[in-house]
Amino acid sequence: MVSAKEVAYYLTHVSELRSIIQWKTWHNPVHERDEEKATEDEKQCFKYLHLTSRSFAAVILELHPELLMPMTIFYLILRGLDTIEDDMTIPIERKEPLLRDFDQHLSDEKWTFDGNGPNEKDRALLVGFDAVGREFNKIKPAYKKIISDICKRMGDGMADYAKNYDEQANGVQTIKDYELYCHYVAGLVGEGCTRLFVEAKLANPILLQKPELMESMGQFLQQTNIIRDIREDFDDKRFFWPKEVWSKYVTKFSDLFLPENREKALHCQSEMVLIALRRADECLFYMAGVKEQSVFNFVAIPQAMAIATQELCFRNYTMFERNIKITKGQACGLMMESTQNLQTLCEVFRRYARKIHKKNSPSDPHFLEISIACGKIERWIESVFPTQTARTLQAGAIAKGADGKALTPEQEAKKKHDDAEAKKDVMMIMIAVFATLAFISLLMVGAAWLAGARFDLAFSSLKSGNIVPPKDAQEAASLASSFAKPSGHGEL
Amino acid sequence: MQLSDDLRILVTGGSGFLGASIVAALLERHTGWRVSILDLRRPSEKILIRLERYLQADIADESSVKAAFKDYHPDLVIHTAGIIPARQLRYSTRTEDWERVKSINYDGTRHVLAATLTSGCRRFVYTSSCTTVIDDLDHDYYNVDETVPLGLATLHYGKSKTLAEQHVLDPSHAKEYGLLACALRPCTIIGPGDPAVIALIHDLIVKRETNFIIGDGDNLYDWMYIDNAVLAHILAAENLLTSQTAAGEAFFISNQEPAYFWDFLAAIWAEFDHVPRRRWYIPVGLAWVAGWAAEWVTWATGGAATLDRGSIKDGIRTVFLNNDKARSVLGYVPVVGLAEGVRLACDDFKKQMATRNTANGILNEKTKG
Repeated sequence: MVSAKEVAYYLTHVSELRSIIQWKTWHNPVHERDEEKATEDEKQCFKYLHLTSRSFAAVILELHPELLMPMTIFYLILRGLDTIEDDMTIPIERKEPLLRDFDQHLSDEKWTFDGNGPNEKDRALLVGFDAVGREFNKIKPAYKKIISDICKRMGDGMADYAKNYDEQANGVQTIKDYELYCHYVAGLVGEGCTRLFVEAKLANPILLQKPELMESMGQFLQQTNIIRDIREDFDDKRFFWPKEVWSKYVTKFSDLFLPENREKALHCQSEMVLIALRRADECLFYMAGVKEQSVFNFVAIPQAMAIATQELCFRNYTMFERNIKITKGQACGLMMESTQNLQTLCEVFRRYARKIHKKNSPSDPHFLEISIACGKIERWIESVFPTQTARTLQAGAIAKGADGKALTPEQEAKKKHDDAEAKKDVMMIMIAVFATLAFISLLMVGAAWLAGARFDLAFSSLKSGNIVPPKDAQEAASLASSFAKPSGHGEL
Repeated sequence: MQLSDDLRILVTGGSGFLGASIVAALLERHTGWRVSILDLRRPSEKILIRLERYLQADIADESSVKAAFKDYHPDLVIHTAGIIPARQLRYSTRTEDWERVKSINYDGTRHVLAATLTSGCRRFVYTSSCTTVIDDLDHDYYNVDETVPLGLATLHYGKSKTLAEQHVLDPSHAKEYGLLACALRPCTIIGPGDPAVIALIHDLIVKRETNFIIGDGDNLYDWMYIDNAVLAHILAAENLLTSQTAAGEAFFISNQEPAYFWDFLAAIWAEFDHVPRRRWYIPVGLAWVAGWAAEWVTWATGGAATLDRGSIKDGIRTVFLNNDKARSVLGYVPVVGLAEGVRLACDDFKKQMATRNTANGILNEKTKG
């Protein structure tokens, strides 16, 4: 499976190879899953999950047990919708009701669909969709409600888009349309996931009161994919880049791919990256509200991949020539870093913001705006994890808690109590240390005495004022003999 | 409290870059207000006819300020008058330079505040500066807020603004006279009519000093567009006239869009169609030695170099301001984005250059003739 090209790549990029090995060796899921216990239908669902997704399957399968099945089903249902929407062999008259009524079939334990074209890659999922239906009926009603609500709204949105698209055959027109499309295919997913997290008490309910945050989560991922897949989509005659953007640079969309328009294509690309990048800080804000580790991993891995992909695409003309993606080594490194905590994830974002800033060129019409967008990411990180300098750390400042707020009287009392406790601990440790030292000294003195050391001589010598040992051997000898005399050895 | 329609507002430094913009905005936003200007320089005729009064005074001269306030009783004073030592003077350590800066920025503020209090006015908006905190050159300031104490500024400008701000916000004024004062600390302001910033950065193209970046180039820096600074001043004035929650407080204000320092320079050069073919990264240590050498060369030849150790320190620092306090107390949210602001400021500078060139052309014609 490993090609010679890959071998050569990883021999010259050893740190990426290290990431792969580390991820494979050391990564353990937060929640282990017992595959033996899964029912037939569950196994079937997991099989479809692996079939339809490379990257999402891994993070979904490591989710908290409470959300494992709901999220798997949610994903498969959305994938089912997507499979119908993508299939160009289904005429619009048939497609529209299918999309709009998809939520009606969810609890139908027998509903399947085999109307997809033979080349549709996820065809099998819809053919065996009854397994999903049966599992759907088993999950908690609250989850069911969330999933069918999102399914209904997404189906409607996709139907609107498909109809509209068929009418114009020109692709997306304005930036607003573009963001609306991303809302239907990704923003809604963000909403559904967030409602599931909050329902399961694994994320801060505040996330539901700040809908722009979950919207940005979906938009950032979807826009990144749309930017990266420009070539593939163009070859498949799908046009997601809004005309409002590309028409500033070329008159026909296909002109973007002409070699003589290379600079123009890069300018257009940087505007697309800019639109997405402005949402990065809101994504970080969102992820700060996730409480549980497996959910954090679930949301953070795709976001880290997305910002790395943005960096890969930015001012990279190859993107217009062929499909590009981040290497497996980079991906493993990013997965390691995005499955720790918010701070390491912030470091990833800061690092890529700076990489984008380094690639930014003053000849680009969006040069300053991109610089500001990168600055916005850094500024957000600073507001949560401030860099301390000698000037911001104040000497003799009033007692403060970890959150930087002044303490209440109860906290103050508790702090005093804690401090007293700490002092007592230090005393105990000191006593233990000195007791040990004293014991060892005693042992050594005892051992010396047993071996015949004359402490009486040493003491009387000290008494007569010889505190420092004599410098030369002769003096020492005379000293020793002067003490030895009374013992009767002086007859010589 | 409701904003009255009929108020007397005095803007000191009303003929300057910031002051003139504040006057124009006041006349627009509060058509009933009677606006006056105190400045050494006479405002343009266009503005002059819309003013209640023009008070000519040199704020460094106490008697001159007193005389100007004779039989004038404003409801609120916006004190923007001051001097910003530009270019090499920013890093000057000469006593006579310090005396001059201090006499205008500190003594001037004392004179204006004293005259204000004597006139019976109890509302005072002071244009301080973020340099009160950041002018020590030796520290980075990430997202710095108002809790950082003053008093470490070493450069003349920041030092003089610190003295003045501390004087204005001194609680004894509030206690004795019931003064309601606040201080705004803007970062570097750009915009049409800006006398220094764009010119300084533009000059680097002519001097061929655009091919290097000192340090790693990752340091963020804060700038702001003039309209936003003006808005903050008007909000502060309105606050002191109504809820008075800003009284006794200082506020950092910026565009809330920090950008990488060296990107900002390059963005301005690009506005003048200059894109350096390559930009070399110069390690700080090396630049330091070069700056030191350049200072000696400058000293020996008597010329004016751009490179010295002070400007190197300014170029490698991270400085951006946290505006949360201004947002929550004053309701300050910038209205013009920085990228747009840079375009507007550069367009204006291009016009200025064009007029200057034509003027020079005419002059040359005359000499030839």
